[in-house]
Amino acid sequence: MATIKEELQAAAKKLFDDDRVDYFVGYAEDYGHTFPAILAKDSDLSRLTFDRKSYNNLANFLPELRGFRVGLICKQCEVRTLNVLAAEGQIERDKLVVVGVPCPAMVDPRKLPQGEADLAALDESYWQEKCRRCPERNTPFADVFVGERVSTPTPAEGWPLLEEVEAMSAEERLAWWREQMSLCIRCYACRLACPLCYCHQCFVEDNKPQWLDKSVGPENNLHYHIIRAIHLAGRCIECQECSRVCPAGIPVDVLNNVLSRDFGERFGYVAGETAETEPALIQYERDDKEDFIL
Amino acid sequence: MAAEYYRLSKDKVAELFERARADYDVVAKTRDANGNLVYGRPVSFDDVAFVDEQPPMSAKAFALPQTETLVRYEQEGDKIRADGSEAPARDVLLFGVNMCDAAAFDIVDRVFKWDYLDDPYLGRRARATQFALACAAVQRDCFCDRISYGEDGVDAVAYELEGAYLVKVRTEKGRALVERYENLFAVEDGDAERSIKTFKEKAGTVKKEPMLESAKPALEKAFEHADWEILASTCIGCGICTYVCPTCHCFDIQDEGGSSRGRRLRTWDHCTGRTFTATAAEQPRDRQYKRYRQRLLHKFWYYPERFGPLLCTGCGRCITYCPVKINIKELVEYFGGLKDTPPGGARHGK
Amino acid sequence: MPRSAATSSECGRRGTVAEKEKRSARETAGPWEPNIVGFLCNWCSYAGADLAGTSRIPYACNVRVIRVPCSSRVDPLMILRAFREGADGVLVSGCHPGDCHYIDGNYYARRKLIALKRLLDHVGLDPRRFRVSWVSASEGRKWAEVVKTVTRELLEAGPFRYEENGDD
Repeated sequence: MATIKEELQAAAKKLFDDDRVDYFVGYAEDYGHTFPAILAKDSDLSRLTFDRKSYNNLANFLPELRGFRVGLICKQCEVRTLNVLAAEGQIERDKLVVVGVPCPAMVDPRKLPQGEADLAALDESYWQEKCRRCPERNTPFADVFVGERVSTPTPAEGWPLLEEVEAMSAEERLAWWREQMSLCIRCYACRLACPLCYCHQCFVEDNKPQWLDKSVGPENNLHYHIIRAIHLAGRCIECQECSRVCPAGIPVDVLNNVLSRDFGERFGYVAGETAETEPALIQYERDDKEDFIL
Repeated sequence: MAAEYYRLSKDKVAELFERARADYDVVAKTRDANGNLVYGRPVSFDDVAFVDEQPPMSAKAFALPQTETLVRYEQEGDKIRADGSEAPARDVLLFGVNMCDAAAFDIVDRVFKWDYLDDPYLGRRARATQFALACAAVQRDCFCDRISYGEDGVDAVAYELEGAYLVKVRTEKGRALVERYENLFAVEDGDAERSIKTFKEKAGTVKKEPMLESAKPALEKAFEHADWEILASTCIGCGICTYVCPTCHCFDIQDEGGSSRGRRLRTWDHCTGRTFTATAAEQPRDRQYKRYRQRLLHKFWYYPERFGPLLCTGCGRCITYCPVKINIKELVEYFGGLKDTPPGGARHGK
Repeated sequence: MPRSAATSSECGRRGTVAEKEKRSARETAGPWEPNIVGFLCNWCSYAGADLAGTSRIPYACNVRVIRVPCSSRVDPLMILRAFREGADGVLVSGCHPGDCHYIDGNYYARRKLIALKRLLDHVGLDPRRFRVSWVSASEGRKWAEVVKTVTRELLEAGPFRYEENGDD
């Protein structure tokens, strides 16, 4: 009985042998880590893997491979991303081979046990929060499906951390966010790990005019995060990559969740459901709820 | 000066901290709001984490703050008043800093006193004393054992033994620290170097071949290697590796404010960023892999070419915190001819 | 009791809180007044504000008006920048939905501004500091009321200060 690794390696090899792809984007395992790898026809495929540390949203690497035919391992996270990218005219679907997999749910890296551990045995309490909300663990819309399909547990409701923060009073929240923002070092990893932040020139790089000061401080940092969240309004598919990569451990995706939930309730909007869903900020309804306008 | 050896009993560390606070601005490891280990200024020893665990951020901010005002100006009537940055008011003691962080300062000093004397940086360095804590075990992704440069410039290092620390003092500043609190330190009479050697063997931090310095000759020929594109294209160009690194020191200079008041400041910048070498005319490093290549070659070829040591102390944070786990050590070994197989198996080879 | 409106020379001093306070100490003009930046759409709200003026309706002068072609021109970046530059409050005012000179600009603005409002509320910002209004060209009186309301609320809310120590 082949393991998922062996099946993936065979599938990748077949895509190269059949000349269906120029590059294969997957996860490789080496030096104790699992990380994204761009593989070519003559690459050593034996390190190709898919495990509970396969965090990266591989759709993030598509802009670098624009124009080429790409085979891509896709979790539910990647497929929802591709739907949003397709709706925004950013991908050529016929140049992509979506390789579906049965996702075992990712282990929260901040909860990873030290040393050797059987990750497969870790229960739900170790998962990334988003995985508990996942509606379908077997990649939908796959061109090629690798491995045995698994059952999907009933998705959890709500955003626990968001709700925890909202339970605080406004003063407490102000202090809490200011504290978190004082830890931000403006590395922009959140933005660069996000597959939907694909602007060639981001607002942070503008200098005519320069909207955002480059100096690092709680107010400037907050402004950066707020604007990024607005630019993702109705687009964020909650892969949690932004929070995972933050070296200071700031749960930046909570800001994105505020708008995911709000746009869902207010405008009935869910990002990435299909490739036809139009972006939320370029449409409107005459009777969009306005409850704070004078 | 010749190295000197002392013994500091473990139950005296708290007292050393408390007394040092009267004479120094003491920087030590503590926990931030998210529970991460950081170098900060805890006021009580209860908040000090005197452990060898490596904080995500290095100690370099104490010599080169992330954001620093160089000049502040304000219009007063028909005059303009300008204030430069101030030298630190007190001596600083880096208390329990990791060796990889302590060793970095001397390496980085060289560029800050090279063609231009960077007074703000040098002013802070002149007033800082390092009291490092050697690692009793290898930290996650670190590889300090593959880098020769290490301890020569570190003022004092503590090695944890049974019940006490063996303190090796190498500089006048280190000696001054010990002499100030001499009743806490006993002169070490045993074979100190042997104890240190045993400590390092147990920790796994003894230097091992091949040292990464030896990659330089092959790196000098590796600029056009076909595999850079495929191995370094997953780099997302964030600033994490640069900002957590104890030796990275690139900065941007920005102006904030307007005609009547404002400031000129410098702030950390990262060469892996898309706009780092972007100019009005062109962007010479137009692909992400070229930007990553630059970072690696700067650290392992250009900097040692000019200044001697590698611009790296092997702390490994760049690997641990990299969103895509690019491994600079593996890449140096591969492109530097020390290893045949590239990390992750990727290869272009066309 | 609301304080009386400031004279135009005292209104909304520019600069950061620290600078404002420093200047307050030097100058002897009266108590602190909020500095409010208003983004007004040219066709409706700006005209409405003009009408308030030509009708001689008295109202506080704390709002510094920036005229934009349409409320949808207002980018959340501009609003945050206004806070950074020393505003204690920001007001965006546009045409009533259905009356936009550009047909539907204000419908897009509404969604964008809702997103910003939700986030500012979430991070604990006093909701009185960011307001949106629909004021038509004939609503001079409404404009005066909006300014009165917003100014009064900000007088109560106090100066806006996000960072304790300011720069550095």
